[in-house]
Amino acid sequence: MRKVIEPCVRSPKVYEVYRKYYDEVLVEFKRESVNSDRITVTLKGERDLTRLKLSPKKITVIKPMNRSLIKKALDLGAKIIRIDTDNYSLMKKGQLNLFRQYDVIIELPLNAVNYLIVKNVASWSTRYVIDVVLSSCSEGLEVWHPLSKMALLTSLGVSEVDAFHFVFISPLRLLT
Amino acid sequence: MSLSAILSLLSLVISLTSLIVIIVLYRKLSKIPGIFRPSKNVKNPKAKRYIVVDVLSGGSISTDEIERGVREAVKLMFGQVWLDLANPKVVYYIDGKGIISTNRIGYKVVLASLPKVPEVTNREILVVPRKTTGSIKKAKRLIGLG
Repeated sequence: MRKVIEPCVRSPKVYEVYRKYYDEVLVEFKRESVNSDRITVTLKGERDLTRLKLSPKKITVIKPMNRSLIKKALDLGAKIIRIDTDNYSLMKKGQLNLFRQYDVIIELPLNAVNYLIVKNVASWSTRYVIDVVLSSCSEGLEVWHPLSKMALLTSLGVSEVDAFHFVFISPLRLLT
Repeated sequence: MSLSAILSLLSLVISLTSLIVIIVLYRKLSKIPGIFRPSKNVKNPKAKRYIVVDVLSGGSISTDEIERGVREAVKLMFGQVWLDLANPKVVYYIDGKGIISTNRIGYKVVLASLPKVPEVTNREILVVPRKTTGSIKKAKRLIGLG
């Protein structure tokens, strides 16, 4: 049976609710003396890059704020790039080709992204990026059931096959 | 009896028999969809859809509050046009489980808007979809109403 994975939860309030509807929930907060499963690193300059440490035990998501840092982060081994309203404008054809070359996973946080960005990033799947992960990253009271994610994608014009892939298949790559 | 009388009687019998055969065949074939009437699976946009949801809230909550929350969430995400098209209504709510009725055009819009219900109601209410079905009977069975 395929596991259903929620890639990001930041609020301990809704963690138990997510556990009910998902087989695996990746958290980004500390709970009961257990470390979080993932971390998001914002790269603003070279200094952040030198401090970047990629550990196989923790999922590291990179949020680049500078175009030149994207290639350098990918050369260091980063696999997951977060795109939201802050850094979407940085993504041009060159960066998309890099994503294809390095087989990158794109993460779209539903709490910090414009729905036009979701639609555009989903269209990249035809040529540049195979895996797009929709994470709720909810810091308050917001629960995104897989049905709601699929419905959102299909209502934005994404095909059902792609929507299914993004919601159920792409998050499995985060665990490998 | 003359030959012409026999022939006319025979032709009458044949025509009556063929009429009876046609009537019987028509009645049998009209029960099979797609031959004389449209198939049930033809996309009927007015067809109802029922969304079975779990409602999680800190305190007590009424059906009206949930419906208002869902309608505001749809309006926030997709606008007045889609609110009118989808026209979501809470038909049953019992013990933390509810049924929202909508239609084939708008059910995906309602599903995509449900996570925004806590934001629009400013209360600790979570409405999480479980299943979508085309019949109210199945939806009632899923929430334990028989």
